[in-house]
Amino acid sequence: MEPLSSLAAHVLLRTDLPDRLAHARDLWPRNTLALARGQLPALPAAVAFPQDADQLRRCLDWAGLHGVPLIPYGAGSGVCGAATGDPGALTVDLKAFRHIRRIDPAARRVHVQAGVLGQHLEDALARHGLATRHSPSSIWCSTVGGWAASRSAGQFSSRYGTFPDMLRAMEVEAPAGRFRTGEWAEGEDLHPWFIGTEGALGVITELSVEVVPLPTARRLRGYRFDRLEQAWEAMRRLLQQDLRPAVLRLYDPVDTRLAGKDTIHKENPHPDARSWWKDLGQRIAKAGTKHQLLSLPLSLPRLLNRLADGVATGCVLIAGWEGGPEVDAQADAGHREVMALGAADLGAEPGEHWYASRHEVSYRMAPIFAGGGFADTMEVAALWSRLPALYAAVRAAVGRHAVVMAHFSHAYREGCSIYFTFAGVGDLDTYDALWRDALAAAASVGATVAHHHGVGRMKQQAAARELAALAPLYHDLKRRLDPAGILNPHRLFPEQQTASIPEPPPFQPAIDAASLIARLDPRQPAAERDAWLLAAGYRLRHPDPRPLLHGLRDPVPPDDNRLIGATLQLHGRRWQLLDVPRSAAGPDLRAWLPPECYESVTVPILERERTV
Amino acid sequence: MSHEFSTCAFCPRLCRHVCPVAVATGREAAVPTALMTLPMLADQGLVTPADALLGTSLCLGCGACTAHCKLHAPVPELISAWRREAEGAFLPTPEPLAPIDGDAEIVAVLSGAADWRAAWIARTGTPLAGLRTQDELGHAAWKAGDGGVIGAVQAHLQGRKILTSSGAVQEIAAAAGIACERLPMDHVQFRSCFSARESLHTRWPDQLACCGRREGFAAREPEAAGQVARRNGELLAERCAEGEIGCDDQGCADWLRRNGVRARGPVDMFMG
Repeated sequence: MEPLSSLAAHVLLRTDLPDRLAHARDLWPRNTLALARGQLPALPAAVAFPQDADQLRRCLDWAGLHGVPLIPYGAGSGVCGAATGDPGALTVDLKAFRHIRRIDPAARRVHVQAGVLGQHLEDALARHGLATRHSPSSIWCSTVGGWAASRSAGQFSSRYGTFPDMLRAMEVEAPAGRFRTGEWAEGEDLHPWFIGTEGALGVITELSVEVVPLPTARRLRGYRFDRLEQAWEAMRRLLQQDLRPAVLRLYDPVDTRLAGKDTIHKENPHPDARSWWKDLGQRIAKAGTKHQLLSLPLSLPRLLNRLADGVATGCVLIAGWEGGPEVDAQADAGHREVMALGAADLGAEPGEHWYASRHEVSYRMAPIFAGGGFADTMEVAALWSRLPALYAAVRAAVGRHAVVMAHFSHAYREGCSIYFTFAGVGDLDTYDALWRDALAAAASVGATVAHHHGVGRMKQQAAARELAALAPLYHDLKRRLDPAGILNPHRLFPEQQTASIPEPPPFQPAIDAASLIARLDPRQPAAERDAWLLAAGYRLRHPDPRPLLHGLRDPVPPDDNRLIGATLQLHGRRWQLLDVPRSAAGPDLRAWLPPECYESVTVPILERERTV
Repeated sequence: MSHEFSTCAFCPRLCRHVCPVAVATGREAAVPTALMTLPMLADQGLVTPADALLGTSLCLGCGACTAHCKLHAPVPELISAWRREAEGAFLPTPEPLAPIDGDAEIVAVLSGAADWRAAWIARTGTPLAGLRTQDELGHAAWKAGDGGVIGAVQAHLQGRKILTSSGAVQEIAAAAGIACERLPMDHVQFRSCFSARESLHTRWPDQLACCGRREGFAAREPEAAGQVARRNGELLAERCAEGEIGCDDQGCADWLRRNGVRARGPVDMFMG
């Protein structure tokens, strides 16, 4: 390690083992599994605690001078290993950037420093009758800066959007200098590049975030469907009818059964099997004290998953609305829509229960590790038209290695995220094989490999394939902003053979009726384009009298989309930028590429009779 | 693997935001998840007991994590017990109990610099004996597991009642079954963590979380304890009229003042 003393003269450094060990971990379950198997993580050489931007600059300069990897660290809630794994690195803890500088109710903005914990920000805003309503399950242990760096999404994203949708400006310290973005930008605006690049291009220090009035009304309700397909249709209609639910969570039959959410059906169609499952749930819950009971069932994942298919019946959907006086009308309309699809009304209790305990599901994971198993979650997303295939493919892939269940949340007009939860037994090889298969399965059906957990170390290859078109642009910018390559090195866009990534099929205008999107020529005259859509029974969701190329960056509400995907002509070949409403597989550059490279764009549409 | 430690060691830091030390210092090493990892690893021989003792020293013992935890994991008790076992020398030695001055039924336990006994007698006409203590009747030693403290205090007080300005003394009295009253606290805005343990909450909806002083933490980890005092002082000042904190524990008020926080305790208020 280069002489730390030259840095320690200016910045608080800690080199004791407890501090280095604590910062060597985030919440990547692979790290937890390794620790449970008696393997210590790679330790940074020191942890720096800069108190302001000047001290952070000293850290950047020192690391650049000596070529030492610098790992920005918020509160370590990442689950993909983004902030860990560099032996001898300088980890830079940002929690001294802990001030909420200004709350402006009139402008609906909060200016906050990057190291503020999420819950503390919401508490401070609540005293002013405001909120971001960004509510990730990590809100107790994640920072606002981390939310931006990893493209975080919260439990109410269907109504308020993901964190990038409410993020209006940033200040970023990069080795090459200080950058202000978005509403604070002066000149070149690199705003989208710093969101989702997980500290590899610069260290986020200050943010301006859009806030909303604290909800004064909330309506939550549970519904039971016999089949997943019915429930998917209900979710899709609620979104596409612009009923703007804040909460939509559909639990697949296994999750419904294991978590006991099917409270309406007291009768038991399969008493023996059901009690066996219930017993398994209790075994898992008690795994810490009776871990010998856990190993056997989890070591037979294929059998268990097959049994689940036979036993589990029905699925539960939780739908919720919140806001002001408009909530009752929206919830009533939503209720009618859901019931028309054959749902059974479970009343308010399932929704109220979920809301009250919405951050507590994470308590279930530790006992599984303590009991000798492993548990993890995977969040992928796809268009509505691809959702059934995605569910089947990932479930089959994970099911070869672990017991798997899923819920569907973070729903948008065009598609939805699936959150798989799985538990198994095995070593790191088992864990790695599971993830390799699961990510490949998701990519094979046209899904994004990350909806809101980011990339980190775990998904770097899969995400790089998904965003392969952007790799040269990223590396150019990385060389400019971080010439010594010290910031989170070798995470995003690792070297790869992009030639193996096939070109998309030749462009043809097309409509995906289930996802309410159309792939169109971005240079086509508006009249011609609109006539073609009209003839097919549709029109643009965001009408524009110009060719689409001119309006790609025009603003839309946080829960809406203007551009879903594109095909590109870039670097001498054609590329597909995945069609998906939201992703966290790196930066979102969909609307920010040079105009000449767009070959086609995928945009939201409406049935022609409907109005927004 | 010790289940008691491993459940916390594998927990995704769900109490991070309520730990006053983790919040004030920003140190991940202070998060209960990290604290509980060290005894687990030390028991497996993966870290040295010395490193584990160094790290677990950051537990203030306030119990905010336990109060927040859905599983009610008794972090302070487990940490404290492990530290006692790992290094017996960790046990603080209680100061010898001073003689009681006077023979009144009520004994003023004077744990701070101010001698409010004479003022109390003059103002109320009530006879009052006095007992000076440097360590709040051995509170830190008792919390660290020295069971002899309670018996010594019982024998020393011999059935007399206590009047105190200290929540720690009140805790000792409660454990010893000694009747105890606190100095009047009419103008106090915040109850200290000593007197509001069940509702401890680092985000302070209406009561004081630990200011960093309790159970020997200020002596053991002065830097971290000072950060806790300053951080909590900032947050508490937002909730106080004119920015001055009124705390029901004089020792805490003195400690906050030493760290630059405008604070007054019950003795300050009583003495005017």
